[in-house]
Amino acid sequence: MGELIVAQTGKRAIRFGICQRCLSTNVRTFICHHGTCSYCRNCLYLGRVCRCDFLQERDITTPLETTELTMPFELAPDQTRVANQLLTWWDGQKTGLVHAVCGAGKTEMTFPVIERVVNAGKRVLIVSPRKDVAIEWVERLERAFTVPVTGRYGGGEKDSIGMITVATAPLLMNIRDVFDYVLVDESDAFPFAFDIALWNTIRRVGKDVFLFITATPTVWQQMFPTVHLSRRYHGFDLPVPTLVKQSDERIVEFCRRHALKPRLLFVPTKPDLERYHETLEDAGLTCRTVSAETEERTDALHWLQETKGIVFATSIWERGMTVRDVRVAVVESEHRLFSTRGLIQMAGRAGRKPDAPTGEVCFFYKERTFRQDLAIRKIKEANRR
Amino acid sequence: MRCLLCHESMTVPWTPATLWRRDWVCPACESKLTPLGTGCPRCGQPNETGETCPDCIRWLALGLDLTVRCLYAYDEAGVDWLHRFKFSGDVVIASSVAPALRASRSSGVTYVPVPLSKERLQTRRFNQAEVLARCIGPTRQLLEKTEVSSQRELGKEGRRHRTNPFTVPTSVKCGKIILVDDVYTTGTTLHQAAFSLRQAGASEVSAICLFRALNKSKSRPI
Repeated sequence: MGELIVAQTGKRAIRFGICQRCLSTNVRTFICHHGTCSYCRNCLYLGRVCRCDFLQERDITTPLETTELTMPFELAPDQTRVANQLLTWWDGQKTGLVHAVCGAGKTEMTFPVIERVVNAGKRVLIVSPRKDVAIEWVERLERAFTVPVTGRYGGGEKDSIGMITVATAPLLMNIRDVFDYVLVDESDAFPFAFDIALWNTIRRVGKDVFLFITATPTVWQQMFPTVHLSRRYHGFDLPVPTLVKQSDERIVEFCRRHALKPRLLFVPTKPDLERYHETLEDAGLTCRTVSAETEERTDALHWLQETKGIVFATSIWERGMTVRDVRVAVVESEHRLFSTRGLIQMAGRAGRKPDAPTGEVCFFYKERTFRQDLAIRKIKEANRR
Repeated sequence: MRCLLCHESMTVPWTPATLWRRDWVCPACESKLTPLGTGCPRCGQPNETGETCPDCIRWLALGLDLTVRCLYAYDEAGVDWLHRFKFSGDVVIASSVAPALRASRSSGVTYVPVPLSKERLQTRRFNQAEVLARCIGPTRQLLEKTEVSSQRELGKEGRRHRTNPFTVPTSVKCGKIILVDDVYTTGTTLHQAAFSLRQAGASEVSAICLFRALNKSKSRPI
């Protein structure tokens, strides 16, 4: 119960070649000041642990506070239904899954239950797969709640725990049994969505009450009690992707056709970014590229919104970003890196704002795959429900 | 196989070494560190003509003759690498420079790492010079160091006029000695250590250093 710190006494940090902080076996031998020793390479970012170190659990000392909630907008009837379901799950201490389509207002639906948990004197954790998404959570939570929101991600306050904590998964490795309610946002985007060992590492931060929120749950997550929400909060249908045979002319033509709208094109890999960037430059269109290595991602997002430009992105932008009235295309959609889930999320970038509820989504293909068909079928299914 | 430094997956060339080598570095990471070109024959300070630099002439005037072989320039990539190695404590990345270090190995030589003081060793947990020396060849710890303040904040003159912190507790019986250190900035450390070793009876002392701090660099003026 608390935060693990490196101390003089306590439990050995590395036992049997396994790091006791992150459960990794990526443990390497080196010459320590007393002789042969080993350290964990997997959690170096938390400060190195060596076999001659000991881990101790320190209690969390930040005070318990109560909060007031001001909803940013009135919840729609559908959203209220989901919010009430979350409250019943919390009262029964049950883990659940919210299966809501992209752009359904998933963030706001959780505010009532967060308020209830905090006012009961318990701590809430929101885990997000990426820093960008975490920052957006912090912004929205700070507008709604009076209690200070702690952001535990790279560049934020890395080692603090508040009543409401927003964190990325790696920085939670040294926390044990602190949070009474853990919301896992975009729960299928985590590496542990498919790896039970990694899931166990993240399970240790909470006290067994979880809430998974996603538009595209994995099979394993579907075993939890589920609440569905298949309407966006503005009530319009999800845009259904169209399949178009890929050629450079067609991509250029797509960009020309929507010249007055921001256009977002997804490509599978980083070398592809350069290649298609050059193709469009040759056609006389200016565009920017965004990948995991791009530092100024939020800057590019603003640029896309303001100048109605063209942005090539890797799957780094497939979740958690909103651009008003955007047109989406997926280039080389048959690539093996584009899963069904990824394609659904990318299609869900379009038409997220109530004043621009529609948008065109285009899957360019060189080959047809089952994944494309399945993505389109799932989107149509959600529209029918 | 994953790259040791960037953890990206990479294809490993098929050689007999593939079977026993554990740490592989991808070509992109390998080319990040810049090897030193032509420069001063004594300390590796880069210049076009390859003549002895003024700093080394001052050392020679003091009667301290020490040839230091430096491998890489201490530029931005070098700072990143060394920070990761020394302060973050990722010790195994030393094996990414081990082939370059090992290329300088010669027979009949004892490699002596520049020591840390006891207090510093307790906090850092390992001696970075010793890790590098063990990459090259047979190592003996002949020197001892008393605690002095960190050199990082000292200027050029402050560094030069330090008292010698190195002592040699035992008599030196090895013939050739090569000192090993991580960064050559002004050379005071290495020259003082060589001075102590020579006084204790070492016949031939030279040095090898992983990085050479560039005096002209604007990021970290010396």
